[in-house]
Amino acid sequence: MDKLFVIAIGGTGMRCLEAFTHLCGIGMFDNQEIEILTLDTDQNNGNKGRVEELIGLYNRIKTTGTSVGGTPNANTFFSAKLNLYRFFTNYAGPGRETYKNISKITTGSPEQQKANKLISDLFLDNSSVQEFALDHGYRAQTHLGSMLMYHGIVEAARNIIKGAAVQSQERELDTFMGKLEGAGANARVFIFGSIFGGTGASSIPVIPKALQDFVKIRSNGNASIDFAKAKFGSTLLTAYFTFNKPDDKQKASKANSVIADSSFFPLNSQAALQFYQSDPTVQKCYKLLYHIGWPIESKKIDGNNVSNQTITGGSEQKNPCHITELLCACAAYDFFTRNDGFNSAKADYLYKAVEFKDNSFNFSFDDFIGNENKSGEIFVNKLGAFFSLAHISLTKNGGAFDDAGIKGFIKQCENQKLNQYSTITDAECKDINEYFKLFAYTFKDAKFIPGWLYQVRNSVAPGRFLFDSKAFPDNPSELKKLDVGTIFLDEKHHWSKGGLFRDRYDLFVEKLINTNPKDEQKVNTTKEKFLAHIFNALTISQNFDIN
Amino acid sequence: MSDKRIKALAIKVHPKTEPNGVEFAWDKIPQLEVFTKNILIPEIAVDQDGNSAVNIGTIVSGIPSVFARANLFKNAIDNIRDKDTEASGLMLFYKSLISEWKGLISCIALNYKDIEANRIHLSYSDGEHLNTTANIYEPTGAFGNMLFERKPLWCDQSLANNADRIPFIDVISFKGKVIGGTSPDSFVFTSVSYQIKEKFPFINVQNGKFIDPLQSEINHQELFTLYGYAKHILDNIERFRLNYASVEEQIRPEYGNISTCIQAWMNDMVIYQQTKGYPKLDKSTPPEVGSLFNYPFSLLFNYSTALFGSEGIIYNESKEGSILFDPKDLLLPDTTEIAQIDFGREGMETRNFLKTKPILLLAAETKGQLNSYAYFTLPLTPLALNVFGATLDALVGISESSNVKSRITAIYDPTDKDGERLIVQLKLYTETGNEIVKEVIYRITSESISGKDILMWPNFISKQWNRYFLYSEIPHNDAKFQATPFIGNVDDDFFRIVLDEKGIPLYLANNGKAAVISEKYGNIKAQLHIASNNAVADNKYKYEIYESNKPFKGVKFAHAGVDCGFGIIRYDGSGNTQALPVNMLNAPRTLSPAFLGVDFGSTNSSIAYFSDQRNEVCENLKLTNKRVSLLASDSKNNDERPAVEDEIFFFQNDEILTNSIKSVLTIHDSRRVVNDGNIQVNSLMAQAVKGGFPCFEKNLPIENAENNRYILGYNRIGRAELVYNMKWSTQQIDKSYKTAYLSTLLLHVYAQLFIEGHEPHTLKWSYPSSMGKELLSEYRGIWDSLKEISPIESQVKLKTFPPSDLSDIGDTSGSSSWGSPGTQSGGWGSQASAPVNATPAWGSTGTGNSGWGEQPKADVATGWGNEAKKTLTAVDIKTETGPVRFDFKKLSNEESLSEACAVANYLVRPNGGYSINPGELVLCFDIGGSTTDITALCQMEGGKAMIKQNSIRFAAERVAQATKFSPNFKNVLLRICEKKKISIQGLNSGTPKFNENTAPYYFEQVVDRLEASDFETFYLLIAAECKEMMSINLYVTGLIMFYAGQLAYKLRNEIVKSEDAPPAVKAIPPKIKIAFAGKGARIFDWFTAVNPAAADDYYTQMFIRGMGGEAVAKQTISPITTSPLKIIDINSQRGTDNADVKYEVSKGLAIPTNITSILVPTNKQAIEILGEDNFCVVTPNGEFKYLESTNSITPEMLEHIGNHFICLPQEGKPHCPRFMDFADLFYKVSSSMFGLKMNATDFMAGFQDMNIENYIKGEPDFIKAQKRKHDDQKDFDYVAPIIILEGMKFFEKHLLKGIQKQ
Repeated sequence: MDKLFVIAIGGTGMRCLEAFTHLCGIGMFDNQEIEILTLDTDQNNGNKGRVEELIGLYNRIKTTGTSVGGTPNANTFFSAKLNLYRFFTNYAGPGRETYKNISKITTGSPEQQKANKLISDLFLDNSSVQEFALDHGYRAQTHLGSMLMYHGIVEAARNIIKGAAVQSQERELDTFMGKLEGAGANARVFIFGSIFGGTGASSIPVIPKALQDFVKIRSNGNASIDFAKAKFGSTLLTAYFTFNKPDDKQKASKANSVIADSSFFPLNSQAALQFYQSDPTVQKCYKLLYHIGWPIESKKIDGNNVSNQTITGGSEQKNPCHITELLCACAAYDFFTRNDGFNSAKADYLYKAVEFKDNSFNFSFDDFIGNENKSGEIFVNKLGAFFSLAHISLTKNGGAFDDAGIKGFIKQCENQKLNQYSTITDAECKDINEYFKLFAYTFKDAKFIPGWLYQVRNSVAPGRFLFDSKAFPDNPSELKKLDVGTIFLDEKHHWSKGGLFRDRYDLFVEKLINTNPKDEQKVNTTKEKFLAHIFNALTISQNFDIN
Repeated sequence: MSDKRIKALAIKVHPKTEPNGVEFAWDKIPQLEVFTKNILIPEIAVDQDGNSAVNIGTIVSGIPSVFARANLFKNAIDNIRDKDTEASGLMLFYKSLISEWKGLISCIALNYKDIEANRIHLSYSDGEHLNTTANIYEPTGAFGNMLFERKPLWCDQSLANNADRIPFIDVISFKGKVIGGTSPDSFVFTSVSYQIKEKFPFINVQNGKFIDPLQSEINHQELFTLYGYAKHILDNIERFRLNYASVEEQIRPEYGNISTCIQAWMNDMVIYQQTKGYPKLDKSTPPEVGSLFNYPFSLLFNYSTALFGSEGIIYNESKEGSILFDPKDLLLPDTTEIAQIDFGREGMETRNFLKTKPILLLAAETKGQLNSYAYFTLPLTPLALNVFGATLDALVGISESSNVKSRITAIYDPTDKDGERLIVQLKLYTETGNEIVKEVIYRITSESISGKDILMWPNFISKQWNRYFLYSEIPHNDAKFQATPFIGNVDDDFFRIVLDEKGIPLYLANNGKAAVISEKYGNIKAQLHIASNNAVADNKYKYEIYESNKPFKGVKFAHAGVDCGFGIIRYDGSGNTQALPVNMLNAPRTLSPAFLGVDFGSTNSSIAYFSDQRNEVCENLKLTNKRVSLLASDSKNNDERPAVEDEIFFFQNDEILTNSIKSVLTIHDSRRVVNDGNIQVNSLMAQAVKGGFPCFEKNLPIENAENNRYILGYNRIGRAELVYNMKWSTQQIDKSYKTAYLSTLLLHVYAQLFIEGHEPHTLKWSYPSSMGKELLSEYRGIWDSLKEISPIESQVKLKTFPPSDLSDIGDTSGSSSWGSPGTQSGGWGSQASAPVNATPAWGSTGTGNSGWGEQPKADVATGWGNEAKKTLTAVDIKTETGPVRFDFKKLSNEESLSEACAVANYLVRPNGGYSINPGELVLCFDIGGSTTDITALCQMEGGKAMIKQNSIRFAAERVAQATKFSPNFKNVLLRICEKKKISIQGLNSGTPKFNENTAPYYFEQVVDRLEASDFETFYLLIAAECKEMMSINLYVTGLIMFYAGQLAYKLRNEIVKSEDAPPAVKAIPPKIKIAFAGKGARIFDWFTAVNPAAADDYYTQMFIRGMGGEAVAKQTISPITTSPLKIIDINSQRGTDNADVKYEVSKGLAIPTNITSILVPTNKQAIEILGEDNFCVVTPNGEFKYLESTNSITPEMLEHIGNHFICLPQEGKPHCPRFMDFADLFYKVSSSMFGLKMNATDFMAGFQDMNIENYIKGEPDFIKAQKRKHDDQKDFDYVAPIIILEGMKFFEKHLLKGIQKQ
């Protein structure tokens, strides 16, 4: 079995990783220990923070005692073990603020300076591109970004080998790379990022080379990455959202003279795709490139933001999630699970088509990870189960309102004499609650905050998205009325009706009592067993034909 | 498949190309390129030309490669196959990029001179690699890293496989701003953020970006060029592609789309041409981009027409003698500032003004002004100058008949907002009919070259000539404009410019010094004789004089040290254009031997030559103007204004006959004279040119004349100095000046003879027989040094002959033997007195006697005896004892001659000379400025013989000097100027400078300007207006005639006594023929003009008085004719209008003596006569041995004057009876005819004041002779007839004062 690596780059990459993490959360990557690297120029980026928080929760959920991050399981929630590494290129130090500074273009002999200026002026706008502050990322200047990212990674390798003052992000990168190097020809590396934005778009074409050169430098030339064997895949995610145009006032400040303008995203995407198609490095390094786009009108992600300020980055950049990101995660799933398609001399471009009606996409189970070997059913089973559990935690047990959440559920189990999970601490329960909040929804100061799945579903609306729309209430009264056993569109998958005095939920709890974790689920700790137990019960309740 | 409609969850594409998709599965995108190309882009602001209002960088930024900008162009070319297809979004943008791409190529084609391509190697400057370099972000290295797999494509494919291949990019700049770069994919691409604000057809004025010029206005020439360039690129794509043949297939470029694109563009150009009605494009040639780009882009973008040119005919293939050139290298760079040359109003208004000018410049029409022209230095490179060579005149359009069709034309725009501009267009026509056009717009120097000239000399060039001179008022090292000459190669068939290895002409000077030219260029010697330097920085007038042994080809002009174009000297090989210097390089001349005779006089000099080929002496020799004025005109009318600086400090432009050369030397300010070898000043100043120039000018702005220097005053140069009266000077510096004068004069002569087909083989020079040995030796040295002057390339070495009698001149003591004078009687009646008597004034005072006899007694006796006795014992002065032994021999043809000897040779010349019969005695007086040389010829055993030669320091200058004292003389000069309508600076024009010092000068100036027919008028005017000058004239001429009589008597007696005389000669008293020669001979014309008969009578009577009276004369000579009675013949054989005046000596020198076979005495002592009574030698034993006035006088006698040789009138006898006899007649005639205001008392006072002994002792020549004897142990060599010395003293002390009374 190949060793899996995920690299998420830039804001979009982070959201794809979020989706990917949720795929892990619902249990799509059984028996896997996945190495994840987040890569950005902007260590404070909101999306990055959110996904890192999410993976942190994920790992805490799987952690028991000294078993940090737990172990890989199967057919259960949180089945994959995730190892997170974070790296960012540092433009905060003195002399690193802008291209002109970091390249030291005004130093050296006059001949050097002349040559450096000529070449820079030829390709990089002298007044803007060469001078904008880099600490908010590459601002859609992918031509500059690709060069800086490549050299940023190489620089880390040089720093590590020098050994002095190695920064933490460099150490994390080093550890990640150690794993990658160790995996050798068995490595499958999947990269999340967009091709229309800044950092991700900048990095996708250069990351394999950068990693290869990192290995070379780190090993003093004794090791490398063989692109003929190691399998690199990536999303080529084109524009699927827009945001407010920067106004002239914002552009007037020097620091903001270069701002990504989403109106050019399609154009940028097209230009970028042409580049990918013709670039021999991309063709050589990548086996599969998953092109995912959004051919219908995109929603503005900052719809309510009337300031006409584009958020260029930083902690405020927490863009809502979109189904395309989920599809990117699904692409990773495809890449990680497929057995063929790696033999072409140059990268293959893959895409997906989905039912389209009334100017909307209608997603069915099978649209995400395919329908071979009932994989669509398995996927929806797992997702549905997870969603149901989320509602059990957040809705039924008030987790979304900082009520007991999962702990409440455990109490309920205790009421049913199911006491083996009582040792799960309040704190552990809280982690699970928190995870579900990020996955589904929460309330903050009585304000509804959609979580990932809500956001994804929103991005499809008015199109169909797997579950009954009734499964997505967004106000307390609707939520109270929610019957968690009826989230699917197809009643076949509804939990069994309870009868006159017992609702479906009560019946489900009863079923829970009657099931147990199985050996093949490889669960060891109480938490794992608890989750596997619920997973099994939900699966039964949902009536998917998956065996 | 489900019947549900599925849609690709992909970027929005055109519905036609949207992939169908496979339900639920990931599927490969079919036809990825088509898919991508058809991506639908929301509307962005793009105008119809595809120019996006937004920053294009936005699109660049989407491509995640730092080479995005370059990639876009490849994508554009690959995606846009048809410019007419509808396009939107990225495709529309690509269309605009293609337009931009075409614009960039157009910019290179049309403005390649502003383009620069810098190759940037994409590696770290510290030479380290990614893992070790100091700064991994350094752009050159970082960019190189980002090529990744494409790196091999961006490297130099020509490098060996084992070479360290480093990728590179050629960054293209336009006027210093980065505008693009080279790429192996799209050849070129534009940079990301350039902006050009100027207006060009290839620039979109809205955004400053390049556009296809077909979208704007492009003129036919530009279209022509562009088409040629596009075709050139297209034709070379395959070569360029092959360069990458060994590159890995995956990255190996293919250029099918670019070829298609360029071909389509060319088609568009043809349509444009047709629409505009422009000439067809099929003959177009690429622009001369040259080697702007390095390999491999050189294959596509470099173009140098390898053309071959020879004398303006341009071939596509090499021909013998043709020069390989690239048309772009013909015009000077557009950064050159061109100099304007101001030819004044005439130049401005005259079309083809330069047609007659000897310099090739560029004439331009003035923009916006009809028929107004301006002139500029040629903005052509030396290469171009050589390519066109002698057909440059055709190129600049002043020789329509030439078969050279190429032209350089210019428009002068004085009103351009950025300053004056010169728009120059060079149209080249190849032999095959191709037309190549270059246009450059030049700035013009802030000031013009105005009022300055460059002159050269001589006006011909020949392989047989090796001394060329150039006079420049624009010194090469001046602060503002500079002109530096360069030379042509005489060995080249086309006389091309001699260039150094870098193609730069060999300039003859640099930094104030003459250039030292390496021997590798052949034997080229340049000299800077006169330079403009710091020492004369304060002087407004700058000039320098070059000499080169190779002919000048042109001058480079510069302004403040920055070159600003050329002027090329226009030689004429056809001989059809008189105004131009003649190119004789391919017409060798046959030069016949010429035998030169040079008579250097104190006032005038004369030169004649004998042509061996014609076997005759030249009738006359005219030194014509051989100067070539390059920037002005040398037709300077000195009747209107005095000579300017260039007329005096260089070879002369006044054309003169060589019998009227003024012996005047203009000298340079010594600070200007270049002394390269640090030689002594005297040696320096003795050199030709450096030491100055003979001055032929007749109208000079004279300020003053003193100490043998004329001082001229000029506005610009200020003071200029002319040296005159050099001949007798013994000053060391004057020796230098004499040498310089003669050297430079000889150059004039060489040039003239060269034109007349002669080359001097020998040079004979003359000297007064009275000249001291020392001075004569000095002259011999001077003349010998002239052998080196020759500018002629030949085997002939000029032979200057030594003087015949240098060894024993002045030695009168040794071999002479005198017999006692015999008397012969004869009688021809008393008629001689008749004409004199006819003059009333004369008759009244009686004849022969005067009442002056008594007074002299008074001061004779005082104390003389005592002094004389003291030294008596020491000295035994020889007196003549026997007959003179002549020992005649034929005059050698290989010696220089005394002036007298030369005149003798002239007098006996065939065709016009004296026949010298046995009964004839010819006396010739060669009257110079300061000396009169006397020659006597008669028949002797063996032929015509010269029996007497000597000279006296009494000549025409006396008359000239007297003008100082003549109150009325100025009026005469003014009157004659008025009559002749001539203007003489200082006399009748400008500030009056006439004073007693300058009077002789103006006298000469006027005389020199008179034509033969004017003299009579002039003399009559003197007689009428300035009688006192007539008296002076009569005094000088009368004394000469009186002395002639004394000599004739003496000579006759010597002949009779001589053993060398045949009996036939002895038997008959000779008829006396008197000839006058020399410039001064004109003084004998004065009286004749007034009254010929009286004049003849006066001179005859003077002669008779000299002989000792009528009775003696009757015995001694025979009259010429008796009926009518003509006692002597005075100057009857002179030429018409005195044509030969002053030629006598030079011609006498030139005529080979083997033709005349004249005999001269072996014994060369001078027969000089005492000429006065009352002189005695005090013998050692104290006796007073009285000498007859007919006795000889020797230097020994004069050495002891006052001691052993004394004037001791016997009791009752007048002091100076012989002089008194002369003075008597003079007084009578001049007082009666010309109102001499002196009376008898004045005369008597003069006689009593004679004291001739003291006068002699005070004579400079006497003192010098004494000094030589004392200091140098040389023989005392001063001798002069007492009668003449008396005449000099009376003249100086009394007569000059006397005439002032008027």
